[in-house]
Order: sequence, then C-alpha cells, then structure tokens
Amino acid sequence: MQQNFLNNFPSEIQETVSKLYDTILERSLMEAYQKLDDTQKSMMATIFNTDDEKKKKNFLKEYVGDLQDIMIRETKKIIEEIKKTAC
Amino acid sequence: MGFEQPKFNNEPTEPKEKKAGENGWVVENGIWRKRTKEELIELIDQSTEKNEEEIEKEGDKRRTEIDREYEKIENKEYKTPGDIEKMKKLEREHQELSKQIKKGEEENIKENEEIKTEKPKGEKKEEKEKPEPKAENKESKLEKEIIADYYEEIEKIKNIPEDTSGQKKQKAEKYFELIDSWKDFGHKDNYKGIQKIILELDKLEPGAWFYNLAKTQKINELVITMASKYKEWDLESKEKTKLIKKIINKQEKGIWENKDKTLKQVAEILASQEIPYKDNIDFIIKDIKNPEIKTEAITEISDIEKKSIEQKKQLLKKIKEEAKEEKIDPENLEKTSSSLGLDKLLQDPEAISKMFAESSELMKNPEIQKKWQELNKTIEKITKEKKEASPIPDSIKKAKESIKKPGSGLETIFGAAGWIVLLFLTLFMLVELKGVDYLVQQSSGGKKK
Repeated sequence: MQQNFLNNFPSEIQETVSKLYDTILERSLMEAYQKLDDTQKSMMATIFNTDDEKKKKNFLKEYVGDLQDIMIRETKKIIEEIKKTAC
Repeated sequence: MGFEQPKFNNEPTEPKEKKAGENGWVVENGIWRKRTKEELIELIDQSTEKNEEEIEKEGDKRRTEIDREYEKIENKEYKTPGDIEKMKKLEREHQELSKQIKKGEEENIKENEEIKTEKPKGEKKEEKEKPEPKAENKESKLEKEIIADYYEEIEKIKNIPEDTSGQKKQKAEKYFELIDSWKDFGHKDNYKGIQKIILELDKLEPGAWFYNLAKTQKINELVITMASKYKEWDLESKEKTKLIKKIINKQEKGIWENKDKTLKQVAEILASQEIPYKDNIDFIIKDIKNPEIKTEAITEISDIEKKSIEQKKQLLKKIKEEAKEEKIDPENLEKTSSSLGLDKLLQDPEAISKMFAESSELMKNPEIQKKWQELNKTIEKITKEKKEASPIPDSIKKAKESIKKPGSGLETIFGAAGWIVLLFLTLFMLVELKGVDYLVQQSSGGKKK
C-alpha cells in the first residue's frame, strides 16, 4: 500500500524517499531493540527467521508497541541532520 | 463422652436391594414397602402435571425475557445488522415458544377429548402448519420499519448545522456512522438510502485531506460489503455492477488513487463467491484504468475460479480481513501529522494533490535537478555514516524486510505513522527543492505568489 503511494512520484523521488524511509525504519527498530532483554532478543531472532507473519506481528505488537512514536521522533531527527549537513 | 443415641423401633429400615426414596418405594409406619400399582399411576400423573406446569412457567419466563430484550433493541437509536438479526431471532424464538405452549395445551385438551370420545389424531397436523405466513409478514414489516428508521436518521443528521469546519466534520462523522450501521442491510432498499447519504457527504465537503481519506475508506468498506451481499441482493446483475461502480466513483481523488484497487477487490470478492465472470465480473474489470492492476486482477480471478469451494470461502474471508487491516484511522493520522507540523498543509488537499501530480514536471527543470543532486548527496552521506557507525543486527534487518514485504500486513503496526512519514518526507523534499515555489509559479502563470 505504501508502495502505491510512492508510485505517484517520479523515480528519483521514489528512490530517495525509499532510502530515507528505510533508514528511519531501521533506526526505529534499533531503538526498540536496545530496550529488549536477552531472552526477548533471541525470541525475536527465532521468530523473524520463520515465515510466520502472525507471530512476527504479535511480537512487534507486544514488545515494540511504541514503534509509531519512535518513528516520528526518528523522522524529525533525520530531517534536522539533513538540514544541518546541507548548510 | 455422652451417650449413644438410642435407636427407635419405627426408624425406617433400608431396603436391601432398592435405594431409599426411589419412586417405587414408600415409608409407611417407619417401614419401607413397595408402592401398589394404583399408587404408582397416581405418582406418574402428578409428576407429568408438575413437569408440564414447570415447562409452561419456564416458557412464559423466557417469553417475558425475549420481550424485554426485543424492546431494548427496538428502542436503540441505531440498529446494527447484528441487532436486526437478533430481533429476527428473538421473534422466531418467541413464536416457537408460543407454538410449543399452545401445542402443549391443545394436546392436553385433545388427549382429554380423545379419552372421552376416542377421536382420531389426524386433526393435529393441520393445526401445526398454520402460523408460517404470518411470521414472514412480520419479518418484512420489521425490515420496513428499520429502513424507515434509517431514513429518519438521515433527516436528523441533515439538521446538524455546518457553519464551521468542526461542525462539518462532526456531521460527516455522523453520516459515516450511519453508513456503518446500514451497509450490511443496504441491499434491502437497493442502497438507495446509503446513496442519499453519499450525496449529502458530497455537498458537505469539510475540505480537509483527512476527511477525503476517511470518505474514500468508507466507500471502500461499503462496496466490499455490497460485493459480499451480491447473492442476497435482489436486482439484475447489470444493475448491481452499475451501482457498485457508481459508488466507487465517489471515492475522492486524493494523494493516491484507490478506485482501481477497489474495483480489483470487488472483482475478487465476486469471483470467490462463484459469481459468473460474464455479465458480472467483466463489467467491473472493464473499468480498471491501470493496465498493470487490470492484468493482475484478471490473472487472480482465473486462479480463484480454479479453487475449491472451501478455498474460495477462505479467500473471501482473507480479502475482507486484509481490506480491514489496510484501513488508516484518519483521526490518528491527523494527530501524527500534527506532531510533524503537517496539519495546516493538509487542510488544502487540492494543493497537495496538484503538487504531487505535477512533481514529474518539476524534476525536468534544470535548476531543480541541480538542487536535487545536492540534496541526494547529503542524504547519501547521512544514511551511510549512520550505518557504518553502528552495525545492524540480523534480527533488525529481517524485521525491516518483513515489514516492507508487500502483503505481509506488518506495515499496519505503525498505524498511521508509516504513511505520514512517507508523506512528510516527500513534502520535505519538494519544499527543499524549492519545488513548491516552482509549482506555484507555474500554476499562476509565472507570477510568484
């Protein structure tokens, strides 16, 4: 569905937005990951090595519930960085 | 300590083979004896009478409960399809109970009469088969009443003032709620009432982008229900598909186009219900404009047609679930966009749509291209630096890939955030590239506003 949204734009914009989105997603997951204990981390490794989408979803919901807020914070941060570096 | 209680001679002696208190036995003068035949017949008669009375009492009690439940639902301002079903069920249960009680009474009278006159039992059957047409009439009367209630509700909502955007929003929400409660029942009046609501929504135009999104989603939910009720809906196939398409066309042209996707979903739902392709699904497919979506839809439909009935049922369930999961809560979206400072910008959906639509044109401008390259370099630098600074664990990489995988449904865990971040990033880039200024210049004939 999100790809449908990006399809409305020229390929250059699609590519760069995807790259930025990817970084934001990675950083948000990383922040959430650092809060997990060792058992939860190994549980995550096991679950995400399978094809069970339901288990993956349940894991993210249960242990990384505040991903929305983290993502918004990370977006703001990355935009600030771009602005600073561009100056 | 104390004395042992003395045993009296008339204390009932336990029968050796039969248990005390069993119906075949009775205590007389402290001694157990078997009941006589006459005593047994009397006992059975008493117990039958008692049971019948109990059953009748229980039946009456349940009927009172049913009346109360029915009244409670009937007094509701909005009746959901579940309520309507429940009312029908209660009505049927009430009738069944009344029939049973009546039948019990009649059987008692008849049995008594048979004993007296020894009449044959043939008359009983005729009595049983009578009340059916009455039940049907009552059901259709109930349906008419419910539809009338819905129409009354439209008139009520119409009276809500619409002077401010807040009032308009509130009014739109009321209409959305009414569509929700009516959609499963809409085929009973060929969706005439719901179309009336959509017309009211068209006139309303609260203007905000979030409203457009909510309306588009509501229409998507509605047509999915219409397609799911296709077999129950009593109208010519051509008329049905025509109406579905007419309603899909009411989806707002927003930042992303949904009509083709909705048409594809409808076609798949029809195919999974074994609706013939010719003169049904083909009418829907015909309207898909995007050639890729059209090809995808036709391929998927021919795959669905090869599936077993059970597989089709499962697929129908899956399509409906996926459609639900893809929904974004506009209120949540509004809150999230506000936290990124996008709320004011999104109040002008037409300007955003225009800006996005013309972004291809924007990229052709040499000045913008130059800026683009600079911006891209900066972004490259930042993303690369971060990756090098902290290596990413495998679990994160895999989680990220799973979330991004189309059809995984995992992207919904962000709620509205995923969307709004994409939207924000795109707008940010257009602003950074001075694309906004450029587009304003283009649309105002070269004069910068």
